[in-house]
Amino acid sequence: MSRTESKLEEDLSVFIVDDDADVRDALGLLLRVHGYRAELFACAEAFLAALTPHAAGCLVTDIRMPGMSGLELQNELAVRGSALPVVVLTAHGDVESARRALRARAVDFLMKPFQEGDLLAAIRQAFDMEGRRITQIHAEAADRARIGTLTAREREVAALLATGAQNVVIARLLEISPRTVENHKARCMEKLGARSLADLVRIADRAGLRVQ
Amino acid sequence: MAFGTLPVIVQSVGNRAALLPRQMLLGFGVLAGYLLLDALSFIHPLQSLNITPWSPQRALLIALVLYHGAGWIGWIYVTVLVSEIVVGGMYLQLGSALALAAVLACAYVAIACLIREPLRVRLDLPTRQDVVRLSVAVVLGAGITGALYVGALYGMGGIDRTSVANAMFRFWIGDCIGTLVTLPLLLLLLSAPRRRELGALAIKPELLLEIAVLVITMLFVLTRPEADQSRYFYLLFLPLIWIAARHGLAGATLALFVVQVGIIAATMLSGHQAPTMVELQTLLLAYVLTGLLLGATVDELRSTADKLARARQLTIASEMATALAHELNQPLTALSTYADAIRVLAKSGEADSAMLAETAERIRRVATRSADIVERFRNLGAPTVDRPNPLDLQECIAAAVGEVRERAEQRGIIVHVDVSKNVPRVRLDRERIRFVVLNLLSNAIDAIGDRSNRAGRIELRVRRNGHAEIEMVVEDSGPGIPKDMVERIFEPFYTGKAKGMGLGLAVSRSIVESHAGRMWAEASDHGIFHIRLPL
Repeated sequence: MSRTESKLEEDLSVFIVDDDADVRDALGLLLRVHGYRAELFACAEAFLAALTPHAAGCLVTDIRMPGMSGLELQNELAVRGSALPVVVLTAHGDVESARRALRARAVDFLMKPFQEGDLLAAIRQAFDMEGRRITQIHAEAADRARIGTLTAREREVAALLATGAQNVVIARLLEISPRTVENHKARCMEKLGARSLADLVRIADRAGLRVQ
Repeated sequence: MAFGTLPVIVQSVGNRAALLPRQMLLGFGVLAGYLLLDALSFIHPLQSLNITPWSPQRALLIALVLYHGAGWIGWIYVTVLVSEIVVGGMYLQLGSALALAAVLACAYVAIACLIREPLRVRLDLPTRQDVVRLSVAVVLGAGITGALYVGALYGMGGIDRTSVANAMFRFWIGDCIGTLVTLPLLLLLLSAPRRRELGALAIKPELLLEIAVLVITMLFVLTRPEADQSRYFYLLFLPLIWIAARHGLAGATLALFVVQVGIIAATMLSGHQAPTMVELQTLLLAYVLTGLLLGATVDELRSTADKLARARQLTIASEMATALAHELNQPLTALSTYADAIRVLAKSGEADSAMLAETAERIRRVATRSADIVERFRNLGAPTVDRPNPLDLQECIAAAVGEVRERAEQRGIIVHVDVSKNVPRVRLDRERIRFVVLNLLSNAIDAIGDRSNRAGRIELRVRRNGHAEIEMVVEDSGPGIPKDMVERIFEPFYTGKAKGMGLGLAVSRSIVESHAGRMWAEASDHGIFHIRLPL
């Protein structure tokens, strides 16, 4: 595990939503002794009230609760554009709920009383997903920051390079000499930290740089 | 009957009888009983032959074969022979007596075999079918026996030709009545549970009163002039129907026995003429069949009702078992999770004793909670006593309301209870009725909670209606039950709530129905539930 990833893990929380105080408390204890940061909520509404756009980690929720149910909470998260992975808990035999939860992209569906290993595996899987998601968010943010350092002319050149245009074509389009295009290209690659033309094209594409 | 195997059977029985004193006792007991009954009922013999209006002794022989097998045919032959000679008197030559006894012995063994094998009558006569089959065997058997007996008698010159038909009829009806009165009673006495039933019945004051009414009616009928007795005979049906309806077959057989003894005694005292005697006998046969069939029908009805009640109990039990499993799931989940946590703590070596002790304390608390759940269900599921104590419904409802008061107040719901003064104490199972009321109130609170923008109100009204029922209505200001849901909500595991198993209403309805009541929901724009419980 690289340094950045383990730092990332520290920022992740397990959000536990269960109306049963004993189950909630026991889950909180178990996850804390495994080194996770656990935040406990007695109902879906309380969790939603505390939810920030930066919340990252994993939601572990019961299905049957007074007020908003676990499945409704899952939908509400989707509506709000939250990508928080969800692990659903329920009493045995609730096949229909399991189907609905998994179709709504729950990471896992665990029957109470669940096996510790299953719960930890589900949370691990959720955290991996979160890790990838956050790494990507960070990379995109870094790309956007680098693009921001380009001059207007350099941005035009980079965008045109990303379409696969040759230097001569770009020179004609921008009514500058191929020599100048070559200079802009070199500065773009330097500023964006691209090691090759292909690298530059990928970064420009990821950052959403388009020809005006 | 398989006559070819007869000697073998007789021999084998003879051997066994010699070896076993109990069988000897049985044999001589039957012989003595047969002679006694034959002698006691030897009244109004037809042309001084052993054809009498009442032949109860044959039932002994049929019962003997039913319980101990056709192997007794040899002994039965001896019994009949001795009786024909001793009771019937020396009206016959020895040869004729030997032949007639053989006819009778074979006939009664055949009747018993018919009852046992092709008809498969259960000997404790549990259903109407058994009684019908037994009656058919006796009625047909007596007819054939009569024909053979009188035919043999005629063949040996013991009776003249003009009397044959009359003798056959008299033999048939006397045998029918005697056997139909005595055999069912005997069979009930020989079956242990039926014997207990008869024993318990015999000391019931109610039965004594009914028998007294029967005897008085009989005295009235039998003290009429002889020609009028048949006209008044129908009066005797009333106490018989009363007794059979109240006490089933056991009561009916006792009543029939009393009537039979009474009529025999009366005819012995008054010396009836043969024509009125036959008329009385015909009525008596109809009387006996009515009593037996009605008694058996009542028995069957009762056993069906019992089975239904047991099935309902089972339904309640299985629904509650499922509910219990659901309820225990949460604390079980907590317990196993705490245990996992302790294991991790112990392995990590970082665990301080205070933390372990605290977790142990939490485990203890959850275990106590589980025990409470089990206890609550135990109270609910305790087998109902046959006749629960009279219950103060007002107190029971107040207890249920007390349990939800806090929840209701938190949501600003007003619970209004109105128990009418005319509601008497009723024999209901307190715990279960409390569960039903609690469940309805709890549902109402949840239903109102779903539209929390309104001030909630629950009304619980109890009154006695004009049909000798207790009428309970629970209304709430919640959204009500749509028409297509009023039955579905009573199905197990149907639930409209996020929390709950969907068993409350199913169990409640089972409970109400086990008290012979009804429970339903009314489709409306607000919640309405009805319960009717018979007084």
